Amino acid sequence: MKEKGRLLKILLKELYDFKPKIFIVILLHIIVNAVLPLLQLLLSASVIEWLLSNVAIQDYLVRLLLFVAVVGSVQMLQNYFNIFIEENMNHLRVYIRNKIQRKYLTLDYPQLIGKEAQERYNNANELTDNNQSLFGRILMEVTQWGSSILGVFIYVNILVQLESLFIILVGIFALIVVGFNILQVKIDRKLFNSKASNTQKLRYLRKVYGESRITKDVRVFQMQKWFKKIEEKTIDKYYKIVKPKVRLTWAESTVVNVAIIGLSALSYIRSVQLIVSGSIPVSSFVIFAGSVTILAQTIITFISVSGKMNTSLNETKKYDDFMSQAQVFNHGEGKALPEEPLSIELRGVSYTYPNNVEPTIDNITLTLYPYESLAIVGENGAGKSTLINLITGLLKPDSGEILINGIPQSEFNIHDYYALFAPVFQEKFLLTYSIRDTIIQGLPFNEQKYNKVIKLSGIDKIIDQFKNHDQTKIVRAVYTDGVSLSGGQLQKLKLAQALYKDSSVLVLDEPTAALDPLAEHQVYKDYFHFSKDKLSIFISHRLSSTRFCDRVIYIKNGKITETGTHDELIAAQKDYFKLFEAQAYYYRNDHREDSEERTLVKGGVI
Amino acid sequence: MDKVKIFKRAFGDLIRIGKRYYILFFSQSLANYSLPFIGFIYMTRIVDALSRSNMGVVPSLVFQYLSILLVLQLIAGWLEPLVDNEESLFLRKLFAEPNKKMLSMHYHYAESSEVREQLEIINRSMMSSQSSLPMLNVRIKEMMPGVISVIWGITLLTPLFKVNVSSLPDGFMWMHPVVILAVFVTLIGISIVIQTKISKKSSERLTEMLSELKLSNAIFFYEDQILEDVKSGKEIRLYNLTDKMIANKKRDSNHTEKLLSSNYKKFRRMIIPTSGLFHIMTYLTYAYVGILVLLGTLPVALIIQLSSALSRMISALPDVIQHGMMMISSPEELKSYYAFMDLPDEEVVGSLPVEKRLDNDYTFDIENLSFAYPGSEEFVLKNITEAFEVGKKYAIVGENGSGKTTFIKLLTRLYEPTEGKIKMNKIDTKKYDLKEYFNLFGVVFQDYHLVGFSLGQNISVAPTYDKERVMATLVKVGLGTFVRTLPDQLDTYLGTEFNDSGVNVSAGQEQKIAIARSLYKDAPVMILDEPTAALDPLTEFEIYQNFDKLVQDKTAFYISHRLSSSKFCDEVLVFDKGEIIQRGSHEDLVKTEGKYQDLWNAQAQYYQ
Repeated sequence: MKEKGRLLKILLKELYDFKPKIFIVILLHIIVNAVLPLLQLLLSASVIEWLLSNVAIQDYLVRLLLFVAVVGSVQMLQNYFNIFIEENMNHLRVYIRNKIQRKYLTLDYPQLIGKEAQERYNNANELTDNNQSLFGRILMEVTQWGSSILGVFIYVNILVQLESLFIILVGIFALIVVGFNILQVKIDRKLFNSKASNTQKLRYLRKVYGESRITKDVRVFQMQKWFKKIEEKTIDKYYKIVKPKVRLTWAESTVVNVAIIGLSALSYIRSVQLIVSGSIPVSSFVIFAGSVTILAQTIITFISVSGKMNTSLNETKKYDDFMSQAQVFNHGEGKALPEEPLSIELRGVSYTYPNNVEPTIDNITLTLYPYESLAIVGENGAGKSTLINLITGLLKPDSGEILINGIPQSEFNIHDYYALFAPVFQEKFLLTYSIRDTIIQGLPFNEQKYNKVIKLSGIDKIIDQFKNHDQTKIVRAVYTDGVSLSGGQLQKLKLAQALYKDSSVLVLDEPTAALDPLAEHQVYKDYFHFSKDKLSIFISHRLSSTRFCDRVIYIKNGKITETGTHDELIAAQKDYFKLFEAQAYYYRNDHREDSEERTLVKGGVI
Repeated sequence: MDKVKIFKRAFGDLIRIGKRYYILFFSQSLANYSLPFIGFIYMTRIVDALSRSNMGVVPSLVFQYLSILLVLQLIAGWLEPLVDNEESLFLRKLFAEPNKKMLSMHYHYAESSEVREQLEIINRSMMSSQSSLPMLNVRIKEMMPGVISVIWGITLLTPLFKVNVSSLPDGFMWMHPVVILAVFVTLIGISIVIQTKISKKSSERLTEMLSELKLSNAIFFYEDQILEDVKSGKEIRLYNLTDKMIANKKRDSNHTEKLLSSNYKKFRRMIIPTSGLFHIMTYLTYAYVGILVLLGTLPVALIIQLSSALSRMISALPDVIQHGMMMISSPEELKSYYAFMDLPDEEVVGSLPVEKRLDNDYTFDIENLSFAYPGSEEFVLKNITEAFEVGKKYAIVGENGSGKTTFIKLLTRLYEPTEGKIKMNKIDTKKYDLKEYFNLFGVVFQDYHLVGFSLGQNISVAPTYDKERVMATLVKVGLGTFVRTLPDQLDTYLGTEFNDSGVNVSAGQEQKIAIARSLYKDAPVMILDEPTAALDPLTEFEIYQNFDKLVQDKTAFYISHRLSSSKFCDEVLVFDKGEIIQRGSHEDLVKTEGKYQDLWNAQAQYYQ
């Protein structure tokens, strides 16, 4: 209960921060919603009463005018509030979504990785998906909830005048509805997983249908029938999954509707009796008959909305879980970055990914000297990228420390620290920017530096081919007038990006995996050219660059097993030698005739 | 006229795909939205009886009313869960339609990047375009209550015209129903005109707003996708992008908010004319019926039926009109949807069955084959005349873009020749039934893909599979021990996207599974299009060594960048700029002057 209170407070605070006046509108909306149906009933009843008592025509018209004017104004208010709430549902959703995304962008990298971290983000993000998600529906829900409480109060009071038994019957009716609601929630929970996995299957099927990489296989292997069968099976399964839910809903609808008819019958019989005995006028039949229908509906709404409000509070927890994460790195005052050439020292560094047992980096001690170029070699999964992530400060060692010119990593402000490194990663994520914005990334624009960089990197020749020059957009999925850069052009772009950052350390994490060896060699030549006055770290899968590095380390199972120059390691005839030989076999006995860059297409599972 | 046709087709498609859903939905809506009108009718009759003190009929009226109510409520209540389930399946199918089209359209469309882009746009506009099929469905759903109310409203108004005119007092002849009817029709007419105009305007505005939002929406979805992959976070942090991205997002969402607000502002302004007109008509209804009652020409109780029916009808009209106008507001996008859906399907050109031969004696003769992509003048393949014998192994080498893969696509009839013929057993391949023709080939494409269904199904490419044969094939490609370690053996799912219990397999294993798939097909011709390009050197070597054993006596084509593969083939075909410039065994070619020798020597000079 205490937890619920806390969550409610969070929810209310968000609404208050969003727009304090929303509370006033909700309150007014609640009153209008509850009162309007009653006013309409009263209008009908009054008209009948006036007519039965044979008022003068003028009188009738004037009274009618007043009454219709009142009802009309209230209804206009209701319309106005409806639109107001609907509009603000959208605004609130966007407002919260921005908050979540802002938070996500400012979290530190370790808070993003791992299944749990991802789920935390996805769970929070999903709350703003559409008007059925928490922050889309909450305003409407609160309004409905308030109106139904007020409504139950009003209509019970009316019907009690007719028959005091009503208060008990309504109580029993409410209990029945609550009972079914609990059962519904239970069955929903029970079916949730199987329903979700069924949905996941259908969604996957849809993706496969539209998958570009499978067009040839589909035809030559004639997969259509196979897909069709699987779709049919999945749909059959869906019916089976929802069957218990359908049955329960049938039972519920039967019981509840019979109960409603019972309540109505009672109200009709009692009001007819009272009319016959002359204790109430005929016109009140309209009020009592109408009230019972409205009341039953209001109770059903009240209970289902109460259930939803409970869900909403639980969902608020997902929001809070994500938003209440505090950053883990030093974002405050830090030591000044060293002016002199950098050396980096790793002392007994170990790192284990969340939910993993085996450490990915296991007690590594290594010193990188000023202006050195170091190659990190090893099989996939050996821990090369993780080592880079630790050095660049994306991850924090579990034990051991990393020192920059003798100062521990954690003593720098993390943003200052990041300024030390210009990395080029294997994965190429393009944002929806122009070429220029992609090169400067988050740094301020400096024309002189920029012009120098585009010339040095050779991207100026590529830019010149485009009509919009460096204002050309590079994501065609968003800008249809944009261009899609080829693998080689992308390499140049990334080179320019790294050069523009002009950091002391150049880091290349397998940036050329998608290129063939000769093109790869060209790229490395470019980088070597610019790395003379920098400390540089190269991860290369294909080894073609390692022989030019000052030093090579070979990583196996998170440990450094070999260190030395290329020639030394070859002479040692250990793992590095073996990997190199397997590679060289094809260079010696074979030839790749296409020296042009080409994007390597790969197979895989969709 | 065109517009009518296209909407007719759209509605036809909706009904076709969602027949069950619509039948259930219409029945449920009818029961549900008739309820209040049944209420008006009986309320009128009961109050009538009460006001005349005709108490005898009241119990039976109440009983009748409650029984009908119960039946309708039960129908509506029972149909509801069925409608919900049917709807969610229907929507899935509807959204899958354009993707499904990709499976059946002619291959050269399916692989073209323009068609891909079209598909993406169509998928994106499914939810945003006002006239897309899913949006039409939403409109139908929202119009339904209104349509039923209008029909009921008109029906319940009939007593108005049965007014006994002769009983009107002299000064009240203007109360004649015909006059009043004329007034009402005029008012309703005016309100319809206003509504139509307003709706048209607001639908135009909405379309306009959506098109203005298109870009920021596209950016948002794109960035969202990128952010979902945590690895993007590395570059964002190291290149100090956080602030820039936040600022961009803020700018975009401010823009969206402003547009939305101004739209709602206009929307709010419409309340007064719409709602005002509605209340004037309510007033007039009550006034008119009331006067008739006071004059004694109508029973009191009828006021319930008449005023309720009229007010329901009038309040339903704006919605019906608005949704109707929204529906037809953007036929252009519907047109482009159908342009996509109408791309020609894989033509069934041939009908000749392919002769089943146990000896796998299928020969291929190629005569003057040339190929250019549709709409292009440039020939990718030129004048190829070759014959291929049964059981031989052919290596296809050549630079990128020399036409190797195109040649294979033509041989397997994924493409149709622009000029010339490919003959199989002396008959033009065009004449064969395409599906049967496909059965001749076991192909491992360079960019082959497996699907997230079970391993066994991936081998058999069918819902069922012969366990022993699948297992034997997997053993052949060297996956025997691996499969035995899997939790569900052959029933293990590949990847976790279709089924959470699946396992992820390595690139080398995937490759072997793809080879097993084409072996299981036991087709007479095997084609391997550079199947090892993405593998590490050790796995590649293993596959090379094994290949001869796997292919056995089948005819095989082997495309590779690595010349070493031509050593284990009977003949080498050297492609250059769309032509086959050399053909012969590796030993012969390496000794003769020409392209092949150049390539070989170039390599020798580099590495030996």
